This record gives sequence, structure tokens and C-alpha cells, in this order.
Amino acid sequence: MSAVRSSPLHSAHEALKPMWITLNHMPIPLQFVPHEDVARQKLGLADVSFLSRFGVKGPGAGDWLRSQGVTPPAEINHWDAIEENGLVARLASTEFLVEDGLEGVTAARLAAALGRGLPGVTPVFRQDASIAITGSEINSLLVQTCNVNFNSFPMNERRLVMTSMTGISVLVIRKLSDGVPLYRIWCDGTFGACLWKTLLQVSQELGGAAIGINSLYPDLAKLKALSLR
Amino acid sequence: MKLMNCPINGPRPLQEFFYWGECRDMPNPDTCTDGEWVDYVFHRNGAPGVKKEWWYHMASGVWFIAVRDTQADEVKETYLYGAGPHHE
Repeated sequence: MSAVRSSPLHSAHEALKPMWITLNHMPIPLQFVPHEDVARQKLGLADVSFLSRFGVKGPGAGDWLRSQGVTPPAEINHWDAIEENGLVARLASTEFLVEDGLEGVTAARLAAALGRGLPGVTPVFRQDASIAITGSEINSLLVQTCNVNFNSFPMNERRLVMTSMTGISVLVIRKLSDGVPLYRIWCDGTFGACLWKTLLQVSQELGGAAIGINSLYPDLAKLKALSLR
Repeated sequence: MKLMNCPINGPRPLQEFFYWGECRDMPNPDTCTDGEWVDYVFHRNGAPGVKKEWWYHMASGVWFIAVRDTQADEVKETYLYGAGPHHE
């Protein structure tokens, strides 16, 4: 039996009364309102805190990741894709973040392999709030909430940006999903609800909305199957 | 908006940084005189001029040195501790 986890944003979602689904033992909004794809393409905020994460740091962390079949980026503040739409990011010269995609199991495999750590390789407990922002109007949201011009570097550089958003320290990456810009944001879980509420308020002023993960992963049958995993 | 250049993350607004004070070399407490130790612990140089200071980029946790003209409030250079300023 596994414990049920709560998203750091759970309390913020409850007031919106979404339909829920449990993934990776975490209840997460499946859908807030019908026809959310319109918001996804314009300006949508989704809680993806349920995605499995694994952090590791130490002088031997990079070599250890490579020994486990995960090749981290060579440069600090960059990320690379791994299997099943996951990613591995280099947060510092000797610190890394691995996050799985919807069906990935790499983070759990690495956590099991490392256990409580090895000399020079220390696991980092990650309980981030993780938000996905999608849509063509993202820039209008970012200019009000963040000081970094993400359009100043090409998307294919796979750069990871550490900055502050609404005064909260965040990690940000951007990519394309089905041709729609998608920004991924991580922050300390205890600041998550505050960040979410502020971003959602500004998004709503711009015609955006909260969206459930069914908008990001339209295959409902697959989601339901994963909820039983 | 005031910008400062983080040696790792590049130019960022000043709100992302925290000032920690002047970077001062600590005398060896085993060999220095009491006067030198008192000077290090209690005395600060408030005269404006070009100073080396500790700064911290809060979003990424990077400590670094800024060479700042405190009279003109102009940051001349930033670098990681141990990397050394280019003009030295």
C-alpha cells in the first residue's frame, strides 16, 4: 500500500472544484471545465507536480548518472530530453534534476539505485511545485511576472533559467508541445500555491484559465490506466 | 530597472540579489595582534570608493564577488570567488 501524496497546489485547486485523477499516488486536476483545449492554445496553467522527480548532487553525481544510462548536459543551466518525454537538467556543476514524463520510470529507478547515497553522490529530496504554462499568449503573462526575456535565446538551446517570478525563485524551461509554446516552472513547494494563484489571476485577466492534465495528455484511457499503476 | 551580472546566470534585475557586505581578508587569529583582530571584527570602512563585496543570486544560490564603486553606485565587475578579477 502506498501513501497518498498531495500536490503543493492542492488547496488552490479545491476552490475550483475540478475533476480529479490520482497519478503517482497524487490527486491532480484532470479537468476544470469542458473544452479546455481553447485555453491550452491561448493561455493555460496546469499542475504537473505529480511527475516523478529525482535530484542528485555531489562531485561524483555526473559520473554516477552516466553509469545509470542518463547523460546530463555538459553545460550548467541546460537540460536534455531522456526517455518517455522526461528530462535531465544540470542545475550546477555537480547538481542535477531528473524528471520523468507521464509514463517514465527513470526517476524512480535512479532513486532506488542510489538509496541513501554513495561517497560523493548524494540524493536530493525534491518536493517542488511544478507548473506547466501553455499557449500563444505566454509572453503577455511573463512580461508581467518575470524579468527574463525568454525570446532572447533560441528554443533549441534547451536553456534552463533560474530567476524569480512574482518574487519567487523558480527554475524555468521552455519547449514546444504540439506546436504550442510550453513553459515548465518549478519552485519550492511551500511557495507553490502563492505562485499558482498569482499566475492564474494574471492569466485570467489575459483570457487564460487553469487547465487539467487531460488537456496536456488527451489520451484519457491511458491516464486512467496509469492511475491504477 | 537596475541590472547586475551574475557570473553563472548572466544579467538579472537587482531584486534577485542580496548584498552580504564587503569582502575582507580575515587575519590569522593565531598570529595577528589584538589590534588587528579588533579592527577586523569591529571596524568597517564606510568611505565611498571601489570595493569588493559579497553578493548572492537568490534564484540560483550563487555567491560571488562584485567590484562596485559605492560612490557612483556602479558595478564594475562580478566574478566567482577564487576566479579573480580580470584587472588584478
